[in-house]
Formats: sequence, structure tokens, C-alpha cells
Amino acid sequence: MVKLPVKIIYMVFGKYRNGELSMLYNILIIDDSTTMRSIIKKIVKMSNLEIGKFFEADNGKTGMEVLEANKDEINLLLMDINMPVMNGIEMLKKMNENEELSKISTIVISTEGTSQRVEEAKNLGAKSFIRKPFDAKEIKEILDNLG
Amino acid sequence: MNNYKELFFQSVEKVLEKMFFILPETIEGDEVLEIIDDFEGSMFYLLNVSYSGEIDGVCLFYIPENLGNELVCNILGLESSDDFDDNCYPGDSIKEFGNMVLGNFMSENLSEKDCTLNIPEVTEETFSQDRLKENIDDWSVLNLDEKYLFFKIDTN
Repeated sequence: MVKLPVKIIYMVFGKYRNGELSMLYNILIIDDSTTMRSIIKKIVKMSNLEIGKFFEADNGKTGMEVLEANKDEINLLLMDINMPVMNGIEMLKKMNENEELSKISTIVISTEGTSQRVEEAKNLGAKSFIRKPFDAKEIKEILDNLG
Repeated sequence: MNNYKELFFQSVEKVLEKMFFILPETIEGDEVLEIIDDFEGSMFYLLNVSYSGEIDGVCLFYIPENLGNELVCNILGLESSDDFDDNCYPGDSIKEFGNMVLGNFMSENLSEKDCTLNIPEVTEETFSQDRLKENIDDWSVLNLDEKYLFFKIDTN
């Protein structure tokens, strides 16, 4: 078996923290609001996650394009539901058509928090559903638990 | 205040406090008419956000330019509009404000209804007091540090 140097492992997967290898997260943020993408990015940076790259998209269609082009890198999605062109629910359905994409951890951060919408998103694989207006601590806590 | 108007009012207050760190003060009665007179002809953002499905609703907000800038600064943690970059423009933050208010209103009051939140629209308009005075009782007014927010909800 070939042993990879720690540095290579770190570059590819993350880094050692407290003697353990921690996951490196390459994150796609999908929201039609630049304001909201900026806030979410700030909160992610405050979390304990080891962050690699940020990717951004302003609706589900461009989100799918970014995701498909970078599927080997992106391992966490933070997405809105209520977006033009392709909404978040439609994007989750598209992701479910592809086995590889359906496994990517997804957190929905949306104003559309009716019980039907929450259930629909969770049935389509969303790990968590955060309603806007949110408390930054709430998102940070969910992210901290991922890492 | 009718029930929907009151519940909507609570959602507006909640979003302003939680996401924009603004504590609003309610304006009522004759003071509303005095304030309306002061704004005739001023430029405002008109935010229109709606939901449709099992029941429909439309909300309108008149937001003065200086309040629009303050919303951007507060939500993004900026000192002033001088710090705006290409990613900061009031229209975007105002749309998100409308999204959150109506989304919160729907989650808390229409959770069992099959309704979809539509994409908000923002335009710049000259303030018309006649438009408000026609149905003055439908409108609510909040004082946000001497910047005034006018809004109403129509639902069926």
C-alpha cells in the first residue's frame, strides 16, 4: 500500500486538529441575494469548519452548473429555496437524479418555512432546514456539528 | 388592527430586530398623516412581495432611500454607505427584507396552507400621499430612528 505524506493528505482532505484529520469543506452557496450570500459566507468563516474554497450561484440552474463542474471538490451546499429560474426544491430533485450529487451534504436556509416546504426539502435529502430570519448562532452550531 | 395586519406587523418588527438590528417605534393616528405630508414627491423604494396558492396575499412597502442604505449597512455590518462595494446595493437587501418578512409571516400563520412565496420586486418611485390616504387604515407606519417605513398587507 502506498503511504501518502501528511502534507498531501492535508492538501486534499483537510488538516490535523487535536491529533485528528479534519474534513476540508469546499462550499457552494446558492442564493439569489448577494446580501444573503455575503452573510452566509461570513457565518461559515466564523464556524469551526476547515474551509477550502467557496463557490457561489444565484439560482438552482447556475447552482447545478457549478456543482457539476466541480463535483469532485464541492462537499457542502448551503442553499435557498425561493429563487428565480430554478428554485431550491427543483435543484434538490435534479441532484437526486445523480447518485454522486445526491450524497452531498445540503443545508437549506430559506424564508419559505411552511411545514410542507420543510418536509419536502428533508425528503429530498436536506440535512437541516434553517428559517430566515435566522440567528447566526443557529447556523454556526449546525456547521460546527458537521466538522 | 385586523388580525392579519397585526400578525404581519409582528413579522416586520421581528425581521427588523433580528436581521437588521433596528428597534422600531410605532406611529399611529394623526402623526401618520403629518408624516405622509412631509414625504410628498420624495424618492422611495417600493417593495412588492406576494404569495399565492391556497390563499393569496400581496404586501407593499414604501422604503425611503436613507432607510434602504441603513438596511444594507446593518445586515452586512458596514459603517456607512461609503463602504458599499459591487455586492452592496439597497435593492437586493430590500428584496431579502421582504422575503424574510413574508416568509416569517407564512411560516408562523399559514404553515398548514399550500402557498408559495413569489420573487419580490423593487422599483424606485416618487412617494404619493394620495395612494396612502385612499386607504390610510390599511397602512402601518414605523419610525426607525427618524426614517419611516410604510407597509400594508392585502390577503384573500
